[in-house]
Amino acid sequence: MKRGRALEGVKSALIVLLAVSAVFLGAKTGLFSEFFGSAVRPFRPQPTASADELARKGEACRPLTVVVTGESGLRCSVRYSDAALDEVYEKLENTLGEALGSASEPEPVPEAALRGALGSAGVFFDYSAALPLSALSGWLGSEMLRVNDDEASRIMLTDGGETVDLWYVAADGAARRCRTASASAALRRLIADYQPNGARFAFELPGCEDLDPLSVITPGEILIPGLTVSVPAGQEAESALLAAFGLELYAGNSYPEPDGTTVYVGDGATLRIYSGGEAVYRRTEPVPYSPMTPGEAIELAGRAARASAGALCGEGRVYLTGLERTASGYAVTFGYTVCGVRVDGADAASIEVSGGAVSQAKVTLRSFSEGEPVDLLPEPQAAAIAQEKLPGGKLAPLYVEGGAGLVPAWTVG
Amino acid sequence: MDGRRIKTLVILILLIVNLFFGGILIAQRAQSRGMEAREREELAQVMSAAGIELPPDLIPGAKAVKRCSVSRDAALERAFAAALIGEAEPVEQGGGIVSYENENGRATFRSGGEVEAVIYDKSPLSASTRAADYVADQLSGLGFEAGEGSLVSSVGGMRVFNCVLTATAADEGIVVEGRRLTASPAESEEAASVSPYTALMAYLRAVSADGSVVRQIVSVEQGYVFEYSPSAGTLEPVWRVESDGGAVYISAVDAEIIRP
Repeated sequence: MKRGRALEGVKSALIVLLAVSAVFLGAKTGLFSEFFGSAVRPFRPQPTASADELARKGEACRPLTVVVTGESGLRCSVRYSDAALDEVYEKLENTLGEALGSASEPEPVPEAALRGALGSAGVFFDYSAALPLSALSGWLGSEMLRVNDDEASRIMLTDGGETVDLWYVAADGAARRCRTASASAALRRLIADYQPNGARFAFELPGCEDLDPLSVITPGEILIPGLTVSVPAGQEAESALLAAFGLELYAGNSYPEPDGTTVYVGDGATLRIYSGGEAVYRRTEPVPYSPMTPGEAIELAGRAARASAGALCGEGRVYLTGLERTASGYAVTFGYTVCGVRVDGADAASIEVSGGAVSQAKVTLRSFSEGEPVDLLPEPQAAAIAQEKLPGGKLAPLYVEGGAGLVPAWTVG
Repeated sequence: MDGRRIKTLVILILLIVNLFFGGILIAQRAQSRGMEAREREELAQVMSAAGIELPPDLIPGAKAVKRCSVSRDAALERAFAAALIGEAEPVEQGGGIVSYENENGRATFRSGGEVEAVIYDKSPLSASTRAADYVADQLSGLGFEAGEGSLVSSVGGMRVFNCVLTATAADEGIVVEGRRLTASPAESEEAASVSPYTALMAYLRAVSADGSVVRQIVSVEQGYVFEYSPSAGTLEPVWRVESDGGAVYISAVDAEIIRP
């Protein structure tokens, strides 16, 4: 009897062992990996979007022109290419973030000092709009230790020996300089990667004294693609707009108007999508006031702009064009660029934010496709013409209507 | 049928199932070995046709690794500083730059992993104790090993190729400079699936596109590259292919060329 029970016990143990072994060997063969993978997948913790979201912060606020000045004082300008601009910016964003974050109290400097610094080894960034420096620092992963309220569209890093010096032209036009704790080594490494292409600033060129002195002028042929433009419409456009303004749950809450406009009604908000690619979002219930910093306003508006116009613009991008304070918050505007060249026409998005939320927004949807390259008048010739037309103006390329689509042209503003 | 017979039947069935799976496993392994041998031969022929000598025994087996995220660990930084210069309070300089200083030395850490430190007392160094060995000893347990005149960071037994510290004796003391991992890595879902053969083909395409002149591959090694951006730090599994023309890094996740 006892022996019988012991034998049964051994058999039970053997069954368990063989069952476990079978499962183990079956898993090792990979024959059932698809089944087990789909069974386990619902229980796997989903990767958080935080790293991806962080990567997109400040995406609408990248420079449209970067100038790298070598030890010899010779320069290389980077423009007319999203890929090239992204590459140089990504090489320098750590250094720029460190410099902004560790910047000393700014000291005013005469314009002559700024112009002298432009001739020394360093990098010059020309952004599309004046950016709050504290916000830019945050988007680059570092908080400003000595926060200042300055905004600037032109920022420069120079090799100050062991550390980098930060220079910028503030919104009031005055030049300022800060010492930083950012090491110059990374700046020097980047500078060594770029070969001069003859880029100069307008103040350095005889005959260009009447142009905005920090306009960048580079000799040589410029080939920029022409563009064809279409208006995104249909399910994809509607879904993107609803998601951009948090109205995905109300996709079924809509009605048409006689002119073809579709109106969505959500929780305290409406979204009107017009047939020409325009959309207007409006909160119908007021949001309690809560203070926002300019950087927070840009980020909030930027998320909505990226998710709406930015998601449907084909080979274009949305970029910040303006920031204004309003009675209740901020009005933030975004435009389109393709290959780092602004597109003329309606704003991609004009968004008002207050109380930590979007209160109203107007979005103009456009989708861009690159076509055949178009010869643009070389910059030196364009500069000579521009300063006659508008002394003191800034020379910049712009996509304008031409033929069947958009073509690049020079503008002075 | 009584319980005993059922148990006996179940054991027989499970034995057959185990033998079946075991047989499949053995066949799969044999097939895999055969495929590896063929891949090695074909790769050697392709390299030879391109004028590149590739000794077959250089190609290692692949280890299962994953892309990892790396954040910044302030406690680890403090421990690193303490290992070199003793306890000191951190001083934030802004921009993610943190420094430590006391009577024994100073150390500065940056958000991308760059570190500069000076240990004022050089007396531990001698003819038999190099600066790198001394510093490696101080940093033992913090993921560094002494290499040829430098300290190499490693994770899971594999080198992090761009996380290297140099230690030299200078007038002001023992100077430690270079880059370190800013935290212990956290594994993600993205497993590295590129075999050494795929990596070497990607290498061949890259050198052909560059027009580089390469005559001989001297090492093929699996490891990591630490990539940092303001949004995130990642430890990218890579294959490092070193030749007489220099080293090239190929991602072990997607076979793209990486320039650390």
